[in-house]
Amino acid sequence: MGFFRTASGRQTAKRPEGFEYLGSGDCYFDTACQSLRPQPVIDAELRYYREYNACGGRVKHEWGQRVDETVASARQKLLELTGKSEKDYAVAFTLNTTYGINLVLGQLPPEGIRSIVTSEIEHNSVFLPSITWSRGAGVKRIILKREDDGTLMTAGTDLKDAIVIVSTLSNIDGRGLPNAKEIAAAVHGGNGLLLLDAAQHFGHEPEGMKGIDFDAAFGSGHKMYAPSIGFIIIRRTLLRKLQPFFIGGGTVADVHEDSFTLLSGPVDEHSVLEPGLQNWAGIVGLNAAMDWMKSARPMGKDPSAYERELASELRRRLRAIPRVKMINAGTPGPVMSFFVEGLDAHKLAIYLSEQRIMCRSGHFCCHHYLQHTCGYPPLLRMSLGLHNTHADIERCAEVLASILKTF
Amino acid sequence: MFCIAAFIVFFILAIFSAAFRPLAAKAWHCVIRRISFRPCDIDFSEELRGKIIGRALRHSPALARFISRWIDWFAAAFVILSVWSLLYVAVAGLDLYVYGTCNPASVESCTLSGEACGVDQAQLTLTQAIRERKPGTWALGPFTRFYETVTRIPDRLRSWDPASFVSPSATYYHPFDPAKPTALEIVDPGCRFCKKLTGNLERAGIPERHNLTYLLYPIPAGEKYKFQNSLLMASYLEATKRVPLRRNPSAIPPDWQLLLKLFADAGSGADLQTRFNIAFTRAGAETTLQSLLREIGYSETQVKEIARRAASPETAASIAEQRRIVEQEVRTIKIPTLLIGGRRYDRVVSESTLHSYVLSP
Repeated sequence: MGFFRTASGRQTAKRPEGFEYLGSGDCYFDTACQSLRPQPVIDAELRYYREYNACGGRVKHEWGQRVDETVASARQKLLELTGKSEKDYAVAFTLNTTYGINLVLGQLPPEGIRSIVTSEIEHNSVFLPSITWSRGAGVKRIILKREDDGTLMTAGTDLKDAIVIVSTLSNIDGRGLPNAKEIAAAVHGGNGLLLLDAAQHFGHEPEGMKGIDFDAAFGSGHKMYAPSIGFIIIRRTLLRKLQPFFIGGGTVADVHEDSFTLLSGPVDEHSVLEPGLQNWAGIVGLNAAMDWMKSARPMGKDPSAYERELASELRRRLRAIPRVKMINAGTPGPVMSFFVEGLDAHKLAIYLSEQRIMCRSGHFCCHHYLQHTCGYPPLLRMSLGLHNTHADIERCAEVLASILKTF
Repeated sequence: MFCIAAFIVFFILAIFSAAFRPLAAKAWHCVIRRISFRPCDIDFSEELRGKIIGRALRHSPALARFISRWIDWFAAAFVILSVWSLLYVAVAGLDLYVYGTCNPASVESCTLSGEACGVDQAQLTLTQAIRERKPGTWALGPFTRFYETVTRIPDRLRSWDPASFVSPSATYYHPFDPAKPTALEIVDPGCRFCKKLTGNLERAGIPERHNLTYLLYPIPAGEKYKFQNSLLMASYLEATKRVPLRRNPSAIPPDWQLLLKLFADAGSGADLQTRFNIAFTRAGAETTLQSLLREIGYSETQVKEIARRAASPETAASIAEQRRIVEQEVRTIKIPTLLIGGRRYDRVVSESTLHSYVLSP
């Protein structure tokens, strides 16, 4: 088990299991962008490269079949995470969440859709595709507000025949989507579609996706302790509605001179969203990451409870530092952003980095909301993961306070 | 200024390591924006600034605060000093090409000057400049001669005909032979490098294949001379030319014989030239010179005549004429200077190099 020291040099707690390899004194607070990979995930990916480094996709040799089994297992685990059945939902792997959203929206015909609805706090991965889809389809676009706790304020908005595309956990301040079930009911009642950007969600509260009746949810393995990979969990009825334009290898059952037949049926239907060779190692890693998340007991605690504990302490310590202005300070999420009066966040991020504390600075791909709606300067964001410890938070708070005393 | 300073640093580092080339390119992009009056690339500039301050934070918050406050001033000072240094190096390089020394004001202070005695120019030192409150004059010092240096570039490219610079009172190591080319050495009898060059000329056999002659040039140093008895020695050499030796078995002119005696090596202890330079008073030097004349074969009366002529206006005028040739026609600032085979050397020339002039004069 690895030990590390606080700024005062005191040797403190161990790292949670899986992250013993982390250097002493290294404090990583950018899980919202990419989580660290626990050793079992690294091992699984390495094992793939060393022991069965082959393509999947109906391969007849042993290595390929082992890949196919692992990929099928990963698909099944994602369905289990969200409480969906294989009968109704398919899972497709993509590059990342942005890619997945574009892939689905870009192939979704506008017939029968009267509006596309999103919220003001959305990441550009949602905000921009909703703009382009609206323009392309000639359909109006509605931007709704979110409460401080993340509740989507739909009152007075006609959700009939609407595509609603929103995040379930904000990458700015960690606010969730507490009224997700009500929204799903309203959208489906109006014959619409509910698409969820759950990129932040799967790494923190994966169980929270259960019970939400979505049509598609988009996630990123690299935000849930897996290698860089994206995935889409999509209702089969929606999948069949898509008009594929991005196709080729791995997507067809048969090809003639001027025509082709796409793969179909419950086993292969997802392949329309998986053109070309897949990131097999990434999928193998994702499969291992979901196993690890299921069994992880950081410091002997339930992962979500442990993260909430850390978040609560970090929030308390940040609020105690003068000049730190937190965004939406009341939200008890694992992601928090703030700015410091009189000190540019980019500079602050560099100063922290030089003390081996990694934080993100800027507007976090939420320019519309942070920069133009709220008028915030660049912010500093700290996002937690299961590799973090109380000592990380103590050290970060000490260093931050010291920097702010200096400048 | 910060971007420009960063570019200078990374450019130099990039010469030696490819790892710094992307940073140098970024800094250059930033410099381009600067000189086209656009804001510097904030990412690069701020990142670099942040890294420096952040690193200082590890050691001392006070140091980080100090750097943060003054970093732009440091960068400006660094850029100014770098540009000044660059220009200084360029001017020094040109000086080295034109004069054969990177510091014409103080030849001996430049290790690239070769073996030569410098004709030092008046130079304001940094301490003098501070004392006299003329730092600007000191800083611009290297550049004040720039115009003159440029005008002398053609001197490096021209062909030098030694016969054109021979003094009216010139004598030759061996009797003048119109069939041989002329070689001219500019000497200060007090300069140890002149002694070395004369020895090399003899050993290489130059006097046998050339009409070897010399110009006397006691190197001036303000109101006096660089070597305390140079002028006296030069005056005796010049006077000796005018008093024939009745019996001269060696066939070498008596002034040459005197010069060679002045340049002779001592068996042990300090050689004669060194003693002239640092030990002899004027009276002692004169006594020694007269003693050398007697050794050559001059009678007592002739020695007195040479001593009288050495102090005469006629000798002074002849030395002044040679000084004029050196300063205004040859325009050398390093002694010895040798003109041979169309070339000019402002330093000691090796025996092997000189030997090539013997093989193909």
